[in-house]
Amino acid sequence: MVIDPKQARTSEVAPLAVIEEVLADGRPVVPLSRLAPGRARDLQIRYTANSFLDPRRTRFQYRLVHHDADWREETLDRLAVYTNLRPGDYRFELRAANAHGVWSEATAVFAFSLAPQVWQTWPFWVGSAVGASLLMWFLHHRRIAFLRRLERLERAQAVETERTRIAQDLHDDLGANLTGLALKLDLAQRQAPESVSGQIKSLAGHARGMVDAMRETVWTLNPRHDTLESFAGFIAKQAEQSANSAGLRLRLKLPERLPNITIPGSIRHHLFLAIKEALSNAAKHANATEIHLDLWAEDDRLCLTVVDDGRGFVAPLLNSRVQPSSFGNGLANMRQRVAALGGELEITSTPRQGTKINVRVPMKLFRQETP
Amino acid sequence: MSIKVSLVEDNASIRQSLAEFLDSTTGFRLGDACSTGEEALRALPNNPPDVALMDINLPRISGIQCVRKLKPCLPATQFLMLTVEDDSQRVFEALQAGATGYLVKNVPPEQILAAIEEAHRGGSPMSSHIARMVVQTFREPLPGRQNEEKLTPREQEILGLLARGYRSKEAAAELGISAQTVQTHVRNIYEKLHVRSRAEAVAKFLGA
Repeated sequence: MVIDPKQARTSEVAPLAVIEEVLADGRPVVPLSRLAPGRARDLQIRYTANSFLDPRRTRFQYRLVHHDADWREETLDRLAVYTNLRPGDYRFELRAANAHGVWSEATAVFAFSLAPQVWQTWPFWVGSAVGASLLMWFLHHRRIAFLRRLERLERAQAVETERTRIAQDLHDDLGANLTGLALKLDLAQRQAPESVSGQIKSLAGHARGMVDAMRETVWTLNPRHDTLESFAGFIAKQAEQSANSAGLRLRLKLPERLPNITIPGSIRHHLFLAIKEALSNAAKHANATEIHLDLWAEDDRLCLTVVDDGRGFVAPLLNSRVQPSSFGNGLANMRQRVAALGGELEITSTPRQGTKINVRVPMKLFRQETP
Repeated sequence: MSIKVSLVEDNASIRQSLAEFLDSTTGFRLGDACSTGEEALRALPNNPPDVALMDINLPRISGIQCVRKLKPCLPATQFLMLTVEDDSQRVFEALQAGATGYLVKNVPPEQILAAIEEAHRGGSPMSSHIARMVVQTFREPLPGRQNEEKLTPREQEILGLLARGYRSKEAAAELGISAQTVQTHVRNIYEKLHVRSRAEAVAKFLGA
């Protein structure tokens, strides 16, 4: 057997390429067979070769299938670095050559797959797109609804302001002129012959009646007066007037502090007219000497009672629908108004022992004042 | 001695008619009849009336502002506010400014003349709601003042009765005092309300 050293050199056994360690995002992958979390984006692969010749001259070549188009250039380095890998299946192949340029037949392989991040999946994109569309749709509609509501409120506000202004102007101008007219009639009455004097006086009274009626309407329209306190004051004044004109004693009972509640004009209007009716019944029909008016709030209801010590009437008459007298009409009217407010009206009356009219109205209709 | 009455009212027919009534009724004589607050501020100090009938809703300078300005230079004049609407808040402001009474314009002239006479005699009407507002006002502590004007127990009693609907005669009977005494108390209450509101204004001004 002849050994040719030259030949022996070149036909040297090829080195065996070995992958030593893989770092995924700086952390070692154990075991090497697979990349467990599959989420790594940066890979460092350390490798070496078992060579019998000068290991410093061992050269390497590697490629990452699905990432590198071809084998990379030969290198003496023992480290392969990949950054920013996209999700997918990969195969790292490594081969080595000895100092004489004899390449290993077999390659060392490290196969792995990178799972996509949530935001890299298509359901995520579809979901996001749908979500974003829904959100925009929702925001758009909310904005539209808000603008519509604003517009509606503004329109309502404008109508209310205008209505109040018209009523106020009418009241101020017409009211002052009617008051002036009544005074002029009073002056004329002084000099008028007796035959027409009474008529002129009653005309003056008519003019004043018109002003009073107008004042009540304007009062219920003006939002300046929509607190419960203001309402109580207005009712008290009405009670004083009724009692004074009929020469009756008046006794009022109000809590020291009334809740800070807003009563809208329409509710004020009905409630005021109902109570006015009750007061006028007591003053005109009852033959009483004393009227009691109580106003209080309890259990989310506004309660008002008007009590007189007059002659009263027979209770069964009350609930029959047919009430021929004006008194009966008044009661029916009162019932209707209180019912319109979702309230209750209770009348108790005993002959010769007076009448008690009890009104309860739920306050949930009222707007709660923001503190 | 007749009562000298000045008028401040912007509606011409009301002003003229009232002036005529005052002129032609014995016991009364007309001072000035002004149509604006500005006119009243010029005329009234030179010709002090016993009673001034003052419209609350005057254009530009309101009746309330007029009273506030005129009361210090006309301490002997009784200011009676004329109102068209039931606005206790504004009436109350006028009372704080120094007015001693108020009446609704829309009443027969006899009632207006009677109210003037009563005010001149020292009477001061007080409705239940105004009484209630006075009670509430005096319950609030004044900011930054120790020796504030307080109501006497008797005054509080009277206010309590008026707030419950008693007329002053009824209150007098209830307390066993004369109607005249009740009237004096009510006048004093108005005066304290006035003093208190000035103190309040000063406190506000000083930033207390």
